[in-house]
Amino acid sequence: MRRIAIHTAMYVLLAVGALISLYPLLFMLSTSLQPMTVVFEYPPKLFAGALTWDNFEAAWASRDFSLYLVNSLFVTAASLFIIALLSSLLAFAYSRFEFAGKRASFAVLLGSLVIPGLTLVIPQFVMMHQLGLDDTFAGLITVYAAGAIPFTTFLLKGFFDSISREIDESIAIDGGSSWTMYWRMVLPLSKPAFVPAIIFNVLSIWEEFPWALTIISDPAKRTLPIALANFQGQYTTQWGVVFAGSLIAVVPIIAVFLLLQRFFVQGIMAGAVKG
Amino acid sequence: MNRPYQRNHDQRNTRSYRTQAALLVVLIALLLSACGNGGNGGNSESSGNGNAAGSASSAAGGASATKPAKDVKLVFWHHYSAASPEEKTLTETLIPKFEQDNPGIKVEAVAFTWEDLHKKLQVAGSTNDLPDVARLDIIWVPELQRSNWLVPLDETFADFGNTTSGLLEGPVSTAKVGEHYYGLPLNTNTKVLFWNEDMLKQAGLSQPPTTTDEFFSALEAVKTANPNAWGYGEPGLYGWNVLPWIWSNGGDVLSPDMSTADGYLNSADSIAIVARLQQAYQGNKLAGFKPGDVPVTEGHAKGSYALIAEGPWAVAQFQGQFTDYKARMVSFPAGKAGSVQVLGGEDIGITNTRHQEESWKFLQFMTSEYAQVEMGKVGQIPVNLAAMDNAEIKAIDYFAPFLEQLKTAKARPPVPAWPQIDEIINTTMSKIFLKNSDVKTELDDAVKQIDALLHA
Amino acid sequence: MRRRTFNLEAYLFVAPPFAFFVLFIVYPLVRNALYSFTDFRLTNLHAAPFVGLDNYVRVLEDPVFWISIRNVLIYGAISVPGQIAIGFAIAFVLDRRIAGVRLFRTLYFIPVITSWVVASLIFKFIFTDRGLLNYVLSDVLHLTGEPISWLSTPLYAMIVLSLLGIWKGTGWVMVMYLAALQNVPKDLYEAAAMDGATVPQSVRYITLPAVREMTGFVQIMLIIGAFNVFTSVYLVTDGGPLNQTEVMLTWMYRQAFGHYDLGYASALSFLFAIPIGLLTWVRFRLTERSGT
Repeated sequence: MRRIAIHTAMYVLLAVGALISLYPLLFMLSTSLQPMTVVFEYPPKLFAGALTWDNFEAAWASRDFSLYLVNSLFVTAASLFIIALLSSLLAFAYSRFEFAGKRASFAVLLGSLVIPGLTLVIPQFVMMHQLGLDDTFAGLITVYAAGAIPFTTFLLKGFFDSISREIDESIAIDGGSSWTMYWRMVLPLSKPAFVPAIIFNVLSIWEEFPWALTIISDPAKRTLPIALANFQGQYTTQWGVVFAGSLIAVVPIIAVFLLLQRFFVQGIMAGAVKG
Repeated sequence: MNRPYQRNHDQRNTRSYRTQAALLVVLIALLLSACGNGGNGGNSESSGNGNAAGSASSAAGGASATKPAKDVKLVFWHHYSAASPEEKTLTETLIPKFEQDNPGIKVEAVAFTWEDLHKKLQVAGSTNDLPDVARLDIIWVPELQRSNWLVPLDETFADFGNTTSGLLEGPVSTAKVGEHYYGLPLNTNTKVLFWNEDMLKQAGLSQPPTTTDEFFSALEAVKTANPNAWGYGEPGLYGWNVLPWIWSNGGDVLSPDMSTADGYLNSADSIAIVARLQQAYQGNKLAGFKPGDVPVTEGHAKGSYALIAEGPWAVAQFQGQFTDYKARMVSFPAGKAGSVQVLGGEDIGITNTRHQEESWKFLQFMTSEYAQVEMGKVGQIPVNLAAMDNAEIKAIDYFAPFLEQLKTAKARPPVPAWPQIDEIINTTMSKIFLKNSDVKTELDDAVKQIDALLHA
Repeated sequence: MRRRTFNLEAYLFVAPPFAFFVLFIVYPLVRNALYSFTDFRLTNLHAAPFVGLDNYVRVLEDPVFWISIRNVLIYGAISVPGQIAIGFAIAFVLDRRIAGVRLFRTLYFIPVITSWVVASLIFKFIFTDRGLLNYVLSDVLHLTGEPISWLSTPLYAMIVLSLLGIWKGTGWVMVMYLAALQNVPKDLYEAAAMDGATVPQSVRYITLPAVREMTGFVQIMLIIGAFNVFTSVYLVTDGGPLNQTEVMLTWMYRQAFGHYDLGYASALSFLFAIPIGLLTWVRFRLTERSGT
């Protein structure tokens, strides 16, 4: 009997906790489905009588939301491509070569993890302006990629180190170059290391806010996070539209998470190395 | 395992690696430059060396008249809200019409938010990346002029006088700094008092307040009738928000020669009205400027604020979002100096000397009757005299109260330090309202800070 | 075969990515240091007259600088223990084979992958004066008469922001503890139960000591996260009213891009980077030791 009571209590508590962690999202959903005029009524209605897709239509059509979605996808994909490429080259070199400056440069790389990214926002902004890259995707992508290199390199190097050197030697004996080794052997074997690295980077780039806020002014180049923040005007806020847009931004991530849960958790755990 | 390089020589491998590494670098460079150029605000690519000569020759019927040189591209920065009806009119009606009328000139319009445009102009000005033409809030003109980023139009263009004679005098003067004019007016606005009929009725009032005294007793009545509502909603505490109260009560922010705030912002009249507002705030009869407050326009339509002072854009917002609410407007409550609201609006200026003639044509077009009528239809009050008389504009009934209010509207002092002075006003008023500080002490302190800025 | 000195092949691998990294991270870092000694303004990027330590002196005399530090401390003092306590409790319960474990783990993890921008917007909406929470508190539960001004009362606003931090971060703490708990032998609990130990006793004497290293790691990670708080403050209160809810990074950002005072903001960013850098360094040492 006591066991059952404890179990019941435990499940009730778990359910309450789960409700708290989901409630804000559910509330957002219900608000986004209410007509604009109902959102500002007091008392707030948890579920309005009449459900409407108006806010989703407003967010999607009149506010160029599809454009922001495409912008975010492009910036994330391009950054990832550069991150994966540059970090794996670097990680491969640190894992397989001896060269003057190896220890020092690796220390600089890791040391940079100590710096909070946002404290570099001023020089990076000035630099992008001087390079003519403010208000461009390139300005976003370079900084996202450069910022992710140290951590991703660190992660991949650990994995490359674990790949047996006997394979290297057999390739060398067969006359294969280091490039062959990198391209044909190490990369294909490293998928398990790439997946968490990619997920961690996707999560952080997809929702990155301060840097995009700083260098993107042209509304046509907004990414999702700044587009959402901009829905919220200084004096007026169409909460229904804000939340409809938020859902459009969040739901793909949650869906992918549900499909690839195991890798997500790996990615997040791996990301713990980074500040 | 696949070993394609089994029999290759070392030499070749090194080379192939180098080629591939080089390729990678090139690829990244290409990728970055490709997205770098994708319609970048238009700074560098429109440098148009030699274009000015090309268009000049087309006017003069030069040798190469059959094939004019490349089009001149004007870059126009503005802050019409993205995806708003105004922006739609600009890009889908006005610019195509201008380009059709002026072959050889293309206009690239780039939209920013108000804050971003101010920031962009500052940064671009300091590094010589300004656009050709920009829409300017009237309060930016003195600041930008001081940095020498605006072309003095009356000195540069012979037909300046002809152009401005067709425009309203008050708005034209907003672009004047010292002896010269640095822009043409583009649109004008001010605020009027919106009143929620149902809420006032509930409070036993059949008419909106017309004087300051009536206004404050209306706040009482609304609070008594509905403790959950506020009589008045004010979305901020900047000059734009508080100066109408001070002006209408006979106070001011700066002396007429704009040399000091002493005796103006801290005059007895200024102190009296601010104290009255402070008292109303303490009695929970006005709200709207704190984080967490009900947003003012929405709250007005939905029964939270009986009265608000807003511009013509609020009408458009009510019509778009709150179709069952009918906006009612009346002049701002008159104090002992009358009903004095704040003059708002935008100028359009030339920020670059590259394509002066083409830019001037664009300015003239944007202030022409045609363009002003089109913009008037989406809520921008025209500054062109002919447009004001146009039947389509006359048919817009909600312009009437604004045009009436404009007759007595007053501009914020055109001093370069205005943005900083405005911050001081905001901070001072926040202290007075949120911390309930002594009005005279705070205003005296603000005067000291403002005078320090003016004499810097 | 492997030469220690000049290894052309190695440099071909290292040079492109490392140059990219240096250009966009290391070089800006150096520039930032230089800016902090100059009167550098966004309105004039051409001139940056040297002003020595003026900016640093101004920072120390700036009352909002101290407010921002106080607020980060409040934020950390609430959100760090909150996340650890709740995250650990959830992990402890979910570290067993009971029905629905996977589902609950998934649900608790969803806030972690919800973006900061979205989370901030929801919280702002829930905590407005006429929002859901005030409605529940005053009209449903009748706990308060007047609605509470959550977002314009500085201390309350910091509490709201901390709650947001807890909501968003607890799932991460749970995952970290679930990983650590896997290494705690389950038969220890059984043995303890046979000896008559209660659940709280076995948590205190078995579980907590077993996950001590993880607790240390999580603690430092969360403290670093607290120092880095930006987006939620920027979107929920924007430092207002009267800069009373400003945190270190929002204040730096406002100085740079609101007041255009880049030199001053660079000095601020340096002073902010010091505690964060030190903490991160400590964490690295811990990580090295425990081999996480």
